[in-house]
Amino acid sequence: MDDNRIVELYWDRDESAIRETADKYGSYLHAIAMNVLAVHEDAEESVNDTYSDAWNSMPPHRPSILATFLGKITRRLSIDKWRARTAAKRGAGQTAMVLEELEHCVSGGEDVTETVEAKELSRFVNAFLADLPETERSVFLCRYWYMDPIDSIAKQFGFSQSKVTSMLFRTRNKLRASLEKEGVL
Amino acid sequence: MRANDLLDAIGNAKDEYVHAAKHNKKKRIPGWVKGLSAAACLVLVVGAGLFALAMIGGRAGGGGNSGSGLTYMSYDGPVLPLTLSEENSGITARRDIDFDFSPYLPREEFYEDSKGEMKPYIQYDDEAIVTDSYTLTNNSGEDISATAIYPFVGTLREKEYYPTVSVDGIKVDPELNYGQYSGGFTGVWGAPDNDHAVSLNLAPCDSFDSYERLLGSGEYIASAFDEPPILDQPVTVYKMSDYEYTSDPEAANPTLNMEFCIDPDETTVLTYGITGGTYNSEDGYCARQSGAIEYRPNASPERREPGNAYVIFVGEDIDSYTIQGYKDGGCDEGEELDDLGCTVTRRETTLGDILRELVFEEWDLDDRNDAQTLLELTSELIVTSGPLGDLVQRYDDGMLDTMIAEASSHSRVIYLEFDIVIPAGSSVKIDAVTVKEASIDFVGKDTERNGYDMATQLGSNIIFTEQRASVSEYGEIEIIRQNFGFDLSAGITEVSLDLNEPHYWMEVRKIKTD
Repeated sequence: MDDNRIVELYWDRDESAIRETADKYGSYLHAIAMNVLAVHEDAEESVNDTYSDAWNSMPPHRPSILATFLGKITRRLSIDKWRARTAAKRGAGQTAMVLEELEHCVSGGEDVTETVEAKELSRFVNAFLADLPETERSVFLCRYWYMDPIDSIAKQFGFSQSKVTSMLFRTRNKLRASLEKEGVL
Repeated sequence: MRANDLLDAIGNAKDEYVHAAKHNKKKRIPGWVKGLSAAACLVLVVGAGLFALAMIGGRAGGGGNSGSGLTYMSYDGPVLPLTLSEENSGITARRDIDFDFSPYLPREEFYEDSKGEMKPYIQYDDEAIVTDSYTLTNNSGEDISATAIYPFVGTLREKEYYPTVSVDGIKVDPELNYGQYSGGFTGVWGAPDNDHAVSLNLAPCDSFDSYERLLGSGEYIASAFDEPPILDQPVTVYKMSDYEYTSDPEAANPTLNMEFCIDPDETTVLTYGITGGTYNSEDGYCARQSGAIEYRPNASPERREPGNAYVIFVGEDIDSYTIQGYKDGGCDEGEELDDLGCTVTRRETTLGDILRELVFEEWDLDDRNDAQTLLELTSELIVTSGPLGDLVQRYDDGMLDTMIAEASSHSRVIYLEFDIVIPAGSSVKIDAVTVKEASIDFVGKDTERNGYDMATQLGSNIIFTEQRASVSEYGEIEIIRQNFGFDLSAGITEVSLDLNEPHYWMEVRKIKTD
């Protein structure tokens, strides 16, 4: 079913919206959740929670790209769930490794969260992403948004794993430099 | 800020970026093809073993922002301006650049003839000594410590053309940071349209425009300061050594042939010291040959015995192999040699380790510092244009010897990095002196022109207040074309440059004397 039609079902409060969403995007959302959580049951729980959030978000939202709208919900829910069980499950999925890689971008800086709001940091990150070449940006987001494993990214882009690793290393360095330049770090 | 905060911020990336990430599958194109005209290349005609030089003149075209449109068969690259590792609005600079043509002065040299007698000949060089000077002024109220970076176009092995840098008259020992190969790859000139050899030849930068594209975004300089790639891929190495030579006088080129089968989706084959082979057959059959397996008593001591040969499997190892000696590299049935052999040693290691062994132990290179740089540049070539990157046809035979040699000879932008301190309200003077070869055409109607050019601001973050250029020791040359504004006959040998003009150039020729 077309995305616009699915969104209309939400706005019409037609419960078939959930079924249509699950049919079209269930596996996509499950893949995002699995990258974070690495446990099927937990991933299923995140995806089900996504449907609930989507039901409560539309209306008022009318997303232009439904897949990404839903994916952001799943990602956020999954990361929150991962954080909640981090002590017991650290190392599962890609999340721990992704955080270790991102640690390089922020290490050595003062904790300025009290002065940089999350919204402002998101603005910095989007400005940084806008300046990246398209392929580099996509590889970066596959790793740090979708949390895809390196070998999956390599296969998607037809790169070697070493090239993906090198590219991500360079992009993280650029991000760190950008954050330092903005005075965020 | 913690990594979790950054992770959350990335989660708020724009929807179109997130969506595109999963719908942007990169096509595997054979290398970085720069779209040069076919007439701009030095080409190898495949199979004929001939070099064909394409005709090119100083014709305009090629696009770009500089407007000169000049291209050369051998382009030495522009003199590039000084920059800083970090932009600093407290520093302004004046630049003075001088082109000294004293190398054009004829001088007497001597050579030894066949009878052992020393005979004189007259020699001059198509070179200019370029002194690129910067007066950096600290306009802030505090002392400034900065890292200066002086870029130049060069190769790893041509050290004689590296600039010498001094700060306030004291020579410095800068750190060297090497950018990637600055050119691209292209096809075979004159080949039919259905020829798929689109990346068999080197396509070096041939114009200022190509450097504008290379350096304009800032990505290139950033990559020059990156850590080199770590090649930690597991490999299985088969080393051939300790040869047993044949006694057959009919053996014109004693050759060892190693045959094996691979699954190309699972295994990549690299070699060193191998002279030929059978590649990319559909059924996975492969062969690698090492020729000239014979003792050469008349050669220099280090070349009397053939070197070791390596066949390296990245990915899955082979199940089995055979090694058979032949009378020559044809490896034809009926031409076998039963008394030609070697010792084969198998070991498992990483690609980085075996590459280090090849560069440090097998390659002919004396300076250990250069060996480390050569290793890093070769590693980079492997992951960019080689078997672990966007594999170009030039390297698809997997011969590491070729990649090592070309890592040494590839033209690239090299960055000299050194620290400076400018006291508050004061200035320092930086001088970079380089012997600059002329940019030339090998054949064609413009072979007498020798080009020298410079960029006013390309790749620099320094705030320039003024730039001036001059020529000196110009008695042996005449300027054919230029946009500097020199007039040697009128004594105008120093000019002020327009900072809005990105590219200044001149073409000179030696004054002919009867």
